[in-house]
Amino acid sequence: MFRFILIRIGGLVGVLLAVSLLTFFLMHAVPGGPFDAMTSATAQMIPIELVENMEKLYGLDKPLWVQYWMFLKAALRGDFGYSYYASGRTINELIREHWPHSIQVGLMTLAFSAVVGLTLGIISAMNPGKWPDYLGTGVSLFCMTVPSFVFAKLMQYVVAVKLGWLPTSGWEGWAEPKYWVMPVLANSLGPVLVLQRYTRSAISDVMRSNYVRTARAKGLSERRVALIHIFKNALTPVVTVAGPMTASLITGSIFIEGIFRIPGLGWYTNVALGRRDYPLILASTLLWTTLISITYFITDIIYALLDPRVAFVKER
Amino acid sequence: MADAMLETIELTKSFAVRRGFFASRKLRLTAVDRVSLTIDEGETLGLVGESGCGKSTLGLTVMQLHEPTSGTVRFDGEDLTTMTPARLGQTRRKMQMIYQDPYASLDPRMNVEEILVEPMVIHDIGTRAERVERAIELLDTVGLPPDALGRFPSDFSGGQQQRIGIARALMLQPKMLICDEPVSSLDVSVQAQILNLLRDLQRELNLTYLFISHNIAVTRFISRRIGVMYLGRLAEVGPSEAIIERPLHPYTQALVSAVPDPRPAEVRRSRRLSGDVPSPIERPSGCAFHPRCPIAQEICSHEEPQLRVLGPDHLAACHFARAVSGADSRQ
Amino acid sequence: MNTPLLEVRDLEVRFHLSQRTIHAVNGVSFTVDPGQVIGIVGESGCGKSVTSLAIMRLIQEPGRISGGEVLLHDASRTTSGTVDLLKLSQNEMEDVRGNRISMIFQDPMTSLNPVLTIGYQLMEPLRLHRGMSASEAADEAVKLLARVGIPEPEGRLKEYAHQYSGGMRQRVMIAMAVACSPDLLIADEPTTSLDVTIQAQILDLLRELRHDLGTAIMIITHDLGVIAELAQKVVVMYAGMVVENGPLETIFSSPAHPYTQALMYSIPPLHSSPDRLATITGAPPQVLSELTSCPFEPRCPQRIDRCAVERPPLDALSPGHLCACWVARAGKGV
Repeated sequence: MFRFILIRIGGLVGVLLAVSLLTFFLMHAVPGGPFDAMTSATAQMIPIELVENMEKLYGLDKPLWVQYWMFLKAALRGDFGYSYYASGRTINELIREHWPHSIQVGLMTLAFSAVVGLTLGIISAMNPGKWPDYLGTGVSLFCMTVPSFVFAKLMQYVVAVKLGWLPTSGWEGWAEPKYWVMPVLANSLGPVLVLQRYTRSAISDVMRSNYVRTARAKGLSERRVALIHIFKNALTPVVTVAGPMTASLITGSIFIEGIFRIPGLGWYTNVALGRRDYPLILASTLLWTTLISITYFITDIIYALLDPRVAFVKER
Repeated sequence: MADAMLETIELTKSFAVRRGFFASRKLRLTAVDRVSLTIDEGETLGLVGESGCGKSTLGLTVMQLHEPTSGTVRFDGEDLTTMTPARLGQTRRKMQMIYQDPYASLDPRMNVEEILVEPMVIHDIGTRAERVERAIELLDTVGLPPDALGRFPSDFSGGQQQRIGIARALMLQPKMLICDEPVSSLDVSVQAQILNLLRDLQRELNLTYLFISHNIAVTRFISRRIGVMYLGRLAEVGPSEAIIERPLHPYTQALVSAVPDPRPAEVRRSRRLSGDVPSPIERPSGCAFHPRCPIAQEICSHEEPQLRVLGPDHLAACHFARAVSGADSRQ
Repeated sequence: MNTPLLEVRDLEVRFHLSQRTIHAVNGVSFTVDPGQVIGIVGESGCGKSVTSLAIMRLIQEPGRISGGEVLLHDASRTTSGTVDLLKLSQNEMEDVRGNRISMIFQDPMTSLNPVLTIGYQLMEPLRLHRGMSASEAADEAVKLLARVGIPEPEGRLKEYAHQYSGGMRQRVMIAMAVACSPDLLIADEPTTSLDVTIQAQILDLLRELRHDLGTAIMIITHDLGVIAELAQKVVVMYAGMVVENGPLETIFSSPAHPYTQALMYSIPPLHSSPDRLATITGAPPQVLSELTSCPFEPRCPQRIDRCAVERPPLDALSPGHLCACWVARAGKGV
């Protein structure tokens, strides 16, 4: 077990190195630099010397490998540098400021889509071919075909502009539902789809299994069969897919945050990309990578706890 | 005396198996362990044994579908193991296989005509017309009408699908068929039809069969000689009648007496084995059967017995076989 | 007077598919006496498994029991006399399953829940039907494992199914099935997917348990050899109906129904080498409407005109030997 953890941590380090390298070089490969934007945006002719000085300040005149090495050394200490734009503010600060909003939206989305997705999946599986099944599949079809940003815009138009029930955008955290109802709904399309389908197929499979037949043959009530024999078995595929989904939810959706003006990390990273705010882009990407890795790790542990066959293989 | 059509000499097939999360222990699974057997032209050798004994792997290794780890396979006078791939491809025409699951061995998207002519297409034999003609000829041989050509495997029953598989195997006029559990997934009445067909074909076309099955009664019906395998080794081999009526190896005795026999008037002394069929990964030392053997002695746990001639054309690999050869398995 | 334990009368089961209705069981009747071993034999599609599932009321959509009665008589329990299992409520039926009638299935590899311990699954019927506490049930579970020949049973309760081989899993299934000393054990192809030597062990076990517990056994199989090893009475099924029913010796030495005869002679014998096997041309039918003639008639070598127009009733040729065949009846002057 200990060895297993060690291996995973080693893997994570390897992945982070690879991702940081790739991101770093891709970033610099994209034409344009952080200060070009400033020059053209202000539409003022900033003297070349100033631009060069800025670049020197941030070490952008040095060869790429040296820059990467500088970044790596600092990063290992937890220092991700300063943003090129938010003058004087460290990356760590900025992330700490923006990320919590994404986390909030993400967790609420998770809670909502878990309830909706699992329920629809369960009723679909237990009533194949009847109206609950059609309802569940219908909702999934909707989620699958309508992109979240289209749905978001549609909602804004109908609910906020036409009906005036909710504000079009804005954000005040947990406490103000009027700001998060629409974002959470729009953000849930993908997760609801995934959860409904996986739950439905997992439960269908288990319901038809031989061991459920055995359980019934022993005289167990349908309730016991469902809760004890079906549930745990059906849970494993759902958990497998819910893990990574959670990771991507809490890092924030660019579309949703952008459309509803939520100052989360997704939106902010997108802005940074446009502005070539290299330190932020790197830090954000690495954060995402780490989250995904940790989530996969936790999912694996949960999976092994739920399914004894998995732990067995690992032990040997 | 007929010539040997197939001869395996110390044929061995082992696989590397990884146990443990991180390839910490590489073990070898020896599925087929130094098996030497001979099949004469026009005869059938039946190969029986329980799961893990290696009989199916042996069939595949003889066909060179698995590359032998060591040992030789001589087929129709030539050594298959040292052939070039090109020559092997040509020789394959003479040795064909039929499989346990008839539906799984037919491509569901090809119609019967395409399935049947495929062997000729691969070997570039005959014109299109000649191929179709041969296909119809073989459909007739296996008892199917020519209009089957345009239909798909799913239109046929299990027994009919197996007939198609047999027809396909015969397209290239092979000399030998390896039959891997060909009737195990068929109903009893259909099984009888296919067994009769195989018998008839053997007589008409002078085919040689290696017949692999876990069903001893079925194997007896079609085989002149039977080999019994246990954990990759040949425990006993001899004429069918001798193997069943006068088995010499304790495993064969247990196996034969375990077969449920639909003749309740017979009072049988059953020799029940205890324990499970062992896994080929953890092979016992010495004689692989010794942990379950009712007559095992000290020597059996460290010295592996070799096949010895103990009767006319009848060999058994047991240190003490001669001692029990007089006893009848049915009292 | 001998009251039978179980009486199946004119059982009918249909499967309502979108394009057609399959008449899987068409008026099946037979009885099982207390402590008796009855073998139901037939090829795939004859309805033998469906019959057993119907007795347990385990038939699920699109299958439906569309007629008949399944009478369970009070054997050793203090219940209220005779009940028709088909008329019981869900709750009442749940009381019967695993308790008065148990069932084991063909594929032991998939018949045990992979994520629950063996002990838990074994204790379930004990706690449910016998009201045992956890520790009582655990003790009893260990005894049951020992009874079915699992070595070193004490430490086994916390193990999982995947740690066991096929033969051992089947033993665990049998242990679960006999945990509450049922009056009847239904075994649906219990040894078909097991190796021959393991099969022999399992059949021995079933014989022992019947002897020790007095449980009646209904064994369903296509293997006549298994029937011969275990059964006292044989019921032969074809196309969803009983074609012959009689004592083991009679069925094997002088089968009356042409199908039974054909079945017997088409199986390769272990101890002789015939030149050819007797075969039946064609394949068993799928019954899509009510049977108005003998379903075996198209393939029957002994058919007469009457067979194609009238369904033969299951009547006694001699005491205890029933057969549904016009030709057989004529032969016996019935």
